[in-house]
Amino acid sequence: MGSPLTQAFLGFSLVFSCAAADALNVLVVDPAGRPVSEVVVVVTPTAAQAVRVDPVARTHAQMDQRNREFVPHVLVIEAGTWVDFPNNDTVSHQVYSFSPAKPFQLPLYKGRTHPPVLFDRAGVVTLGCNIHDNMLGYIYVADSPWFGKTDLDGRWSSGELPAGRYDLHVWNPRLKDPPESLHRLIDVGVRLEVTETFKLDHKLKSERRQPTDAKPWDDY
Amino acid sequence: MLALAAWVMPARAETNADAPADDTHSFILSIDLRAVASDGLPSYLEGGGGKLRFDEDHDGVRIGRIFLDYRGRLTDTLTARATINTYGDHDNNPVDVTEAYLDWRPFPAHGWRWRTKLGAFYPPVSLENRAAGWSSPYSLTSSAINTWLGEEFRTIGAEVTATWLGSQQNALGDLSLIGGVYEFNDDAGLLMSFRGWSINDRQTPLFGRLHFIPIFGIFTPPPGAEFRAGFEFFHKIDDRLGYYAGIEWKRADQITLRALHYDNRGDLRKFHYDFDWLTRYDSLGARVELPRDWTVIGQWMRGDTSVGYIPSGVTQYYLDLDSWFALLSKRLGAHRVTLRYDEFGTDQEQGTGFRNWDEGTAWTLAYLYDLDSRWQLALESLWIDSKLTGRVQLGEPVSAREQQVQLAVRYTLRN
Repeated sequence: MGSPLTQAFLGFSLVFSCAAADALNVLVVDPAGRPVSEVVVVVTPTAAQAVRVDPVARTHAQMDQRNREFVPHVLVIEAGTWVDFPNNDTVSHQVYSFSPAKPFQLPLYKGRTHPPVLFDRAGVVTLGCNIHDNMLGYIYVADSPWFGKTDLDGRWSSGELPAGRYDLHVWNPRLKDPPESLHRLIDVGVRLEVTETFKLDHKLKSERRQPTDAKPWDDY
Repeated sequence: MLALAAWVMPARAETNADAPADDTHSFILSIDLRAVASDGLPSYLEGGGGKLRFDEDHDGVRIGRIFLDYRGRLTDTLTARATINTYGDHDNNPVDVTEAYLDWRPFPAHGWRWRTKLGAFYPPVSLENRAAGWSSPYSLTSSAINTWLGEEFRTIGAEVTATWLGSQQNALGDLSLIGGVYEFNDDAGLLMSFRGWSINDRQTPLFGRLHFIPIFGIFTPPPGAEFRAGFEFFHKIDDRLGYYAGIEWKRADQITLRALHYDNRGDLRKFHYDFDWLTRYDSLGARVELPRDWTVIGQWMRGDTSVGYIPSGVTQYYLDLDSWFALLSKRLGAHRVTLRYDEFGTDQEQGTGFRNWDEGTAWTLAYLYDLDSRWQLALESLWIDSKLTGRVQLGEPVSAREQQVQLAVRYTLRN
């Protein structure tokens, strides 16, 4: 409890609790105005702040494998989180990533064979299975404790957010809009509620469908 | 087989989510029995000029195929695979191997993955034969192109595939470059030259031999040499390596496009019990998985085969060959219906010797029903209209319409 970091963190918490706490609402819609769900929303303070509100509660997450798919398809976590990769399929998987944010390999396994993997660098990590090339999953590693995914109405709400300037980023592998248009600088604390709407200019990439066959085939 | 089944079954019983089964060794045992009705000409398997596996005198209750597919994990990235089968036809060995190979698939690095296969396996042409044991999940028989592939082709050698994993890098799909080198395919073209194209579900085993030779007696072996009795498919006559080179683009499992050039580089001057055949082809294929479990497959092939060296430079026998098919399949729960149309033909524009060419079309309609995870019923009707000029030598009509209806009961056991 006595480390300089903890003291700094407590200090900032006090400062923040004195500042106006706002809620940030984000809405993502496609060019036709329809809501887009499963979009990652991350709100990152632009200044170097000690933002880790509750380091213990956020340290573990899970990327499951079911029916030859990663579940969830997109997982968003804070940097410093350990992720478990249980394989609940009847077949073995061989999970890997060659993304710069976290290259790793989990040798062929089923169940909970491997210890969790630490994701300590911000960025998007693309997951694959070396046996089943159709399996594709994403882990968005955020440099902030404020993140989530839009719901079926295309909405996400931050809850209380300390006053300050933030980079607001929305991301999903299916978005085709240029990356810079998916970032926005926002100031929190001026108004009681901030609502940011992202209206996409481009249609989404078509969804990767998995064949629903009960007996997946071994491809030659 | 029963002993094997008893051995495989307990392994399955232990499988549950909390204690996943060790799949270091996996087996698939498939037993396929048929009730067949056919009005075909005497089958090529009996020495006739018919295109079908089962003819009028050889229908009734038959073994479709019994096979055992084995896959063993030797290391994390090295797998051994083998398939043994029996067809209950006039095969040399009652039980024989169709494929046996090592598959090395290291983890990708820098966006690329290298895959190497070593042993005996199929060249990557078929987009139809994608289930265990190189069978088709869409129908009982394979298209004319893939039937020929199963009968006369096997890569006995090595294949390397370099895949650029574009879908991992936000691109639209994965791109693969494929190259293979092989020996022991110097007979490829033999069956095509006599029988022409066929539509059936047989795969020639590695040590297999056909006892009857339809429309034969055309070639004179070199002085002092003798023919082996019957067709033997996979052996080495010359010292040249054959090769193939291909490219594939794949987007998830929704779209697969593939092109391949194949050349066995046969040396026409060689003879060792059999003539050496020079066989080359180009192959194109596309498979698209549409919403609501519709599948569309199309393949095209064009090539040639020749045999019998004559010093003037013209071969005794030269055959152009081409074929294509379109397949439409729809799955609805445990039911699947498939319709396929095939066109095929061979043509002789060169050659000094024996004249024999064929042409034809075929319709295949299949219905498959999974009763549960082990039992399947399949009903297939196949109509082939064909012309084969060499039938004259057998006293058969050159043109024929043959029909074959098969009801299959299939039992599949997996560990």
